[in-house]
Amino acid sequence: MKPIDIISFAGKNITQKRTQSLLTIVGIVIGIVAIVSLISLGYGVQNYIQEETAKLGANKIQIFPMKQFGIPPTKLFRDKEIKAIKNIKGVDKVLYGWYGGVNIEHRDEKYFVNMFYAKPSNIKSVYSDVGGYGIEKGRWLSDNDNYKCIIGYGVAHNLFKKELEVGDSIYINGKKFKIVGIMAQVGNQQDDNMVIIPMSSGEELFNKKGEYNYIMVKIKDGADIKKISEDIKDALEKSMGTDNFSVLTAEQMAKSIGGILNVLTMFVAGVAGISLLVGAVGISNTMHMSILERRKDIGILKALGAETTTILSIFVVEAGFLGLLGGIVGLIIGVGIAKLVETIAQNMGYGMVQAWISWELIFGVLGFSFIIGVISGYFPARSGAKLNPIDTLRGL
Amino acid sequence: MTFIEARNLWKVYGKGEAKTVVLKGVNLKINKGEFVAITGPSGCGKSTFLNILGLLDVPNKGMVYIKGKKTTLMGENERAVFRRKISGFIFQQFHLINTLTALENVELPMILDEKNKIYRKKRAKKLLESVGLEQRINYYPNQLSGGQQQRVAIARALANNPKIILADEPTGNLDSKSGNKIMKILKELHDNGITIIMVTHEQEYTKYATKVVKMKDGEIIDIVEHNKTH
Repeated sequence: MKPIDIISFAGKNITQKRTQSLLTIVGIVIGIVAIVSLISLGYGVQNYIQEETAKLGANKIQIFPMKQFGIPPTKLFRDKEIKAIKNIKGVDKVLYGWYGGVNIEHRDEKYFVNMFYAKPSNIKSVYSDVGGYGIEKGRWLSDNDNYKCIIGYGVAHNLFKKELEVGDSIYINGKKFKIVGIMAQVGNQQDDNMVIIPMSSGEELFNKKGEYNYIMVKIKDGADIKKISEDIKDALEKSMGTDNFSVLTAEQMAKSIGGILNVLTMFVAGVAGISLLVGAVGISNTMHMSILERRKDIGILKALGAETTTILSIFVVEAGFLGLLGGIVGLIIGVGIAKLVETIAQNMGYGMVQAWISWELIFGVLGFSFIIGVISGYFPARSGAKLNPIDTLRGL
Repeated sequence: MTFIEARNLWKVYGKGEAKTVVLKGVNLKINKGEFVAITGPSGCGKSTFLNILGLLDVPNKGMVYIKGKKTTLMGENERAVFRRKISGFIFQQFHLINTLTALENVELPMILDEKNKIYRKKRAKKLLESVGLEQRINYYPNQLSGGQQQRVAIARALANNPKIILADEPTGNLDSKSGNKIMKILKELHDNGITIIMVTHEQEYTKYATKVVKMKDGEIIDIVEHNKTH
């Protein structure tokens, strides 16, 4: 039998049992939907992070007083550590301050946002140097400012019912702050949902003096970022007497975020894998039933002179098509979901969420689902191909 | 000239107490162009004998020679190729594929033999015409009467220009009018030089045969040669 005839024969079997075929592929569809939307979004986010990292912050080192996010610091940074870092060769500017969350209030609306305080002159010079940060309206903070603030793009435009303007006031932990500037959009939720206040006001408000939980270092042009971050580590360890801190270059930040994403992707891919396995068993079962139903047809085909391999190919191709069909439907839904998530996330200000769809992904998924079908159809098909035509024709 | 020869065929089904000996050392020679009718009571082994002659089944012992070739030694796939190139089967139950139209059913042996599409469509149409079903080519088996289904089955058996037609009670499920029509077609095929081996228990139809083989309990008990073809 010619391959084209095998394909049309197998295709006919599927279209003739439409309902059964559709129910069969549900498992595969779910698995493929999960895999496609995950890969698409996962890679999209990673690509975005990589691009952004390359764009900004190749000359930026961030330092936190803990090994991992989520673990409370044992020791905070003090002026002595700042001084030690400033003395390291290759370090250009050091921005240090406090990073945390606060409630802000405006006209009876209350929201929780990120807050950062540092010396105003320091903020301006480092932020405008490392790139990606700018002022959309108003001005940067100046060292004379007290109880004044600049707010992120998201805080100004998306948070409150009525958009905030330069000159408006907000309450931070009950204290009134006047808005002097609005930052340009950065594209990530963290920075866009930020309120920045002068260190003097911040220390008063949070009752801290000379303690910092965030340091950002801008290195000199052409300096070796790896070497400098090693030097910083050594200096801090010596000064603080602990190694419970982290020194992250932009590249490392991207890597650690990428690592978290990878773990997440793998976890959900595992769930998708289980779904695919269930789908494969479904196809296998359907093929088994279908062969039971068509024992007589197999007998007829054999009596008419069909070889064992012909029967095998017909059923294997049929199973492959079921898988492929599941793949196509799953791909369409999965891409749709990824695009939907992207649109929703971007409307919510998470510009980093992007769906990554490529020909490799499309053909990879289709090939994969076809192979799943073929594998799950093989064993039932083999048992069908081995049937004795005399028995099947006699209805045994 | 001997076309098919069965030599000392034994066929046993089951094991132990359930063991049934269906064929007990059957010998038969069939010449080219003969019309052989195999008769006998139910369970005498005539269908099994036919299936073995048509290479659909293999004997436990003994040999079937076709044109001198020891077919019993052939592998399963070789027998399959033989079945579709040399022989055509007709069954009591018609055994059409219900999901295919009459035309597609007739095309099937040609599809298996990798004939091209234009040729097989044309030939299938011609064969259906020759059995008087030109109006029914796109009907599915369940839309056809028993007699019409059996005529589709005959057209299918003829698809690859077989040398032998093996018919297992071809009229067994039909009324006498349809049965006569089928027998007329078989006689015409025989007149055109095709060797026919038919199992039947209807005495009336043995009149078309050049050789009537009577079986009982797995053995051939009588062979009657009709010198003249009808």
